[in-house]
Amino acid sequence: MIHVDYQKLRGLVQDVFERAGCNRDEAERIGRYLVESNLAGHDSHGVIRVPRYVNWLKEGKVVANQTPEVAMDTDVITVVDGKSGFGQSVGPFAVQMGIDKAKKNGASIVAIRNSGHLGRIGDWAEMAAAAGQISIHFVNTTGLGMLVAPFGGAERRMSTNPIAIGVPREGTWPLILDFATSIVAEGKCLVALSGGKPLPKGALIDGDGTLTEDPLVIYGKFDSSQPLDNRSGSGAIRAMGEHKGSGLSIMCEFLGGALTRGGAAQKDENKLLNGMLSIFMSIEAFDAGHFFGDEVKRYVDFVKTAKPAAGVDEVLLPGEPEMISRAKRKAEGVPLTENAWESILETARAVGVPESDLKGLEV
Amino acid sequence: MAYKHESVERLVKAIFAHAGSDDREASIIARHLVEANLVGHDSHGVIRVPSYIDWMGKGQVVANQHASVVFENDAIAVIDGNFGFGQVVGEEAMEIGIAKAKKSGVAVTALRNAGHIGRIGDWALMATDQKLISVHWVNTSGAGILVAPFGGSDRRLSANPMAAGIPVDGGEPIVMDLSTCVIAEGKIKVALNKGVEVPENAIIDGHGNPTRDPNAFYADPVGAILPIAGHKGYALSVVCEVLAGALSGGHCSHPDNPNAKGVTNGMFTLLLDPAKFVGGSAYAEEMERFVKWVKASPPITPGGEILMPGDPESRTKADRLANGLPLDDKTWNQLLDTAGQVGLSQAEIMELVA
Repeated sequence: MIHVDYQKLRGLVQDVFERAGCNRDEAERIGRYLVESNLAGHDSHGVIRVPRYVNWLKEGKVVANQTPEVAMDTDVITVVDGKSGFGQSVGPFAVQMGIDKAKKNGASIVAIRNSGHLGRIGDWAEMAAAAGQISIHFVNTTGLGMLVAPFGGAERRMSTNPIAIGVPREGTWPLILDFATSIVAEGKCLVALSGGKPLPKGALIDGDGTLTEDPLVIYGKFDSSQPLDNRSGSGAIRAMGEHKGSGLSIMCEFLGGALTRGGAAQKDENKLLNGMLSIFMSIEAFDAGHFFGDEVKRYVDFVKTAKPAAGVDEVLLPGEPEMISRAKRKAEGVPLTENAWESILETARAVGVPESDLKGLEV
Repeated sequence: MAYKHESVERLVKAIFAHAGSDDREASIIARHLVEANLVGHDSHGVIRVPSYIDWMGKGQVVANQHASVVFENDAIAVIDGNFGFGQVVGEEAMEIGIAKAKKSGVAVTALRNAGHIGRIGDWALMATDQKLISVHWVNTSGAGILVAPFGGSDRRLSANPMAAGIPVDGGEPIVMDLSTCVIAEGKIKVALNKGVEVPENAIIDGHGNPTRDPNAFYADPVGAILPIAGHKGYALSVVCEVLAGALSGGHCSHPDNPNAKGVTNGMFTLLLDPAKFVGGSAYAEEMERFVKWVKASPPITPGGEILMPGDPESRTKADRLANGLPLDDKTWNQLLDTAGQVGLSQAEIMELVA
């Protein structure tokens, strides 16, 4: 495992995307959001994505410096077409519109379609929480990320379809729920394949219906000289919580795909486009009696004081593992497998980052 | 034993009318409870009648109350259920939200202090009947604390259901309706009444050990239900508490709440009008395409079938409408006992269920 200083890592990623064609602001955002995922401990959505993002940019599957189009704009509804721009640009643009409208009208809905990869959805919940708002996000892809079998099925029909929810708290970090509705996100299969944390037992299903945890059923083969293709395997990731997660995932397709008009998952898509339906709520609009903050505090204390299960030190809140990881990784550096780090350096060299800038990044 | 749903509904209506509900309220309660049995969610059906009557007697739920609006604008409403029957104030809260969503395209309602609001899928169906999408998060303020947090070993959360409804042009709506714990408490009660085990990895006993014995759940110290999918279901459940409990101005689960002895629900509802989002028939076409495509995933088991959320319920309903409601003897006898307690004579009961 290699540890890289998080600020230097941000700088490197920014440099890579500037050289690949993004303007400075966009490259800075990509660097910041990807490294933020690593800091939060969501390595699957972190800098491991750099080589793929650069490839997509070269192939025209994501467009640098794109201006999103506001397709609908009422007091409470915003529909944003990302026009294949980077999710790190489309996301903040649309989320800010949602926050502004909720501030004025109590609540607002934002439907994003045709966005490049929106990354770690917890980012958007955190952005709203920083503005003092509760937010809820349902996400799908139009098909490239289609990896999940419906309950009872053995073939891919949905994407990993994350849900995120953020709840701000007074004077402390926000509660952030952020998970894929599959047992694991695809990135976790990538991490497992490159020698990182193994997958939980039975997280995947082979094309013949057998439960497994071998990431090769997703990628088909592992040849370090070839780019990985998650369409090569015959298997699928299973939905979390059996029929319940499968139901939530299908709802993400309708809310993030059909309602936004980005499209639900379908076969033969060759670029990763996300749809996201978000709701933003201003707490003050609901809470004239100033009850909310105290009640959340009281309830959080009640949950935290549950007797821990055997082998567990402490009951953690949604978002707490990420807080702990952030502090640790800021201090100790971002851990990356050698494979992951090597492929990032390869990508950096390929876009012309000088060799001298690739030295001294490790802690 | 199977009973005609009309007979069961008549009996339940009479029970509530005798216990103090006006005619309209008694009809609404009976309709919702029997509907839960019809769709196969027996845990939320007429098995609840004895508890409802008990709560009513103790003043934990109040007959003939109505929802009142605490605050509203074009898109949001905070609604107080005034501890009335959830079937009644739930319907009234949904009507408020539906009217706003039809006007603004979006509505968010936060209902607090509702009596037990029953099967949440009912509210999703009320939205899909109006061609609206809905998503619901529900909590209780205290009586329903049953679920251990992820990594914890005693009860800190309620079963906290979530539901969502998607209208489908010219077809059955898609309705997701789930509790964020592995099984609803009602299902443990059904297992206890039937004398069968609960599924694996669903509950822990009072010492935090996994068990399949429904008796262990009600022993001293009491057991707890596990959240679905580990930390993910736990996080969803916490969010239910925050949205339906704290944001509504009700309460999150806590044994010290003033209303913790009777089931008081909060429900946070998001309503969307797809017609306001997507022009023409794009939404309906996309839905149809995706549903066909998902259903075409080869089943794991030979001869199996991929179902849409809501399919099992609509099939069960068709079957039970035709063949009657199966109720176990214990549940049926409890229902008859309750009818006697509220003052229905044997002859009246016989006539109702004839």
